[in-house]
Amino acid sequence: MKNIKAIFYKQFISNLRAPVLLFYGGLFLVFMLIFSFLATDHSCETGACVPEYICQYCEESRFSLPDISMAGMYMVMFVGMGIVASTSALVGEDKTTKNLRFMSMAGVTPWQYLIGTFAAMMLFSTGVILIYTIAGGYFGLDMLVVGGVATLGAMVSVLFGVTMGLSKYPVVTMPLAMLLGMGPMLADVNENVAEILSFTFTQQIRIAIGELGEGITGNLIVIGINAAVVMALFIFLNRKGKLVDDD
Amino acid sequence: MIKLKNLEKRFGEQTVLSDVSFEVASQEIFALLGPSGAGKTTIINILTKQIAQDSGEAIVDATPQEVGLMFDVGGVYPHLNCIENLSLYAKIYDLPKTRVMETLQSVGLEESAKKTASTLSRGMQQRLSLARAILYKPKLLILDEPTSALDPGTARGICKLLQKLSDEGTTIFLTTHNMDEALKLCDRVALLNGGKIVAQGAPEDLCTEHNSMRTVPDLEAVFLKLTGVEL
Repeated sequence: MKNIKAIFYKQFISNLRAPVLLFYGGLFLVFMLIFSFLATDHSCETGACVPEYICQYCEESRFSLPDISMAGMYMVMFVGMGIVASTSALVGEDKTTKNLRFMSMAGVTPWQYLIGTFAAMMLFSTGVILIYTIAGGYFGLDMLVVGGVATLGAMVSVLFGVTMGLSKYPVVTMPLAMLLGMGPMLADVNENVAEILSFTFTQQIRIAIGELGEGITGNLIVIGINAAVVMALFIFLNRKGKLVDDD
Repeated sequence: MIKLKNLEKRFGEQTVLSDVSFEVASQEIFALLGPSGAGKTTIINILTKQIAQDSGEAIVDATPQEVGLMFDVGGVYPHLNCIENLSLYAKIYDLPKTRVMETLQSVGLEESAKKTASTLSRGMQQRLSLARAILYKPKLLILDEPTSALDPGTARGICKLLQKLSDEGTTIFLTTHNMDEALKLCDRVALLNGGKIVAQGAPEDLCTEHNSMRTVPDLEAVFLKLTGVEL
């Protein structure tokens, strides 16, 4: 328990001193607010309309953007890209400063490291997600559903970030994080992309937020399967029980 | 404290250690001297059980928790202050909080305790790294190039501290290519080149044996004579 507490405290302080996670959270929040404003037709009294235009090819009336939730889109970017990238960066720092090796020698196991890091990252991630749900205008039951699904997604992201950070190939983390974070945005405008990405937890968060009130059991099942797959990967990569494995 | 016998290590087709044997007695200061790529860090990795040898024996009479390890670069979190850097390990090793300040005092960093590591000079960061390695009073201290790229004054300070630790009972194993430092500090040295030990013994004995005393003992000349390689 003392090892977990020590890791948690260090990662907590690191998140304050080198706030990569909070930076991503703040940046996407600003984008969300700006684009929510730009995508809304302010002449509409309810503020629910999106601007309309005439397509230059078919000359029919079109909306300039699909009817999407900006809060949902940026929350997914934060969960899929921001959390994965910042968790991986945190682990990467432990690795490049050789502290991972010192921890390993001190008897810290991969599980203790995971739990300590997970707890610290989730503390900040949950706080950021709460701000997104409020800024996105979700209250009451909607807040619970949106915040809850995003928090579950954040758990998968932190687990994935730690797993990739500890692996021998952390370089693949960022491309995968971009796919997880930005893929659902493409899925909004392309059915094929949506179909392929339906296996990812970030797309399920996107669907759950976009289709509020339609039940989230299916989304939760896919998110759960994603979590199980990442957990299996963590167990496989750390099967030797050593934080650092140069063999 | 350390016993290596006929150690062999290959990475793919490349043999990095070949028939390496030496012993380090308890409380001794022992240096492994050699140029870059000689296999020094591989030996450290084997001693700290980060990698396994292909054949031969590597016996360390200390658990990994009883070993203090310091590298020439890294080891400190740049955005944490000195206290926070050490507190992580004080918590892991279940040490009292007072031990952190004691250790910072021993390396002369008590006045910089609350400074962020990235604002410290290279020499001070090196001392902080050493502080982390000695925080839990290890039985065995393994140092990889502890004074590389340091100014002579700071390097002397670290050598004095190592001597003090040795006097207090710590066994010290270090790698270096600073022959002058090895001469002044070490009880014994081993010369490593191309993954092989070419000579070992007390520094002055090696110099005498290989006629490199001149006005002062010259280990660098011994190395050059034995390997044809300049350090």
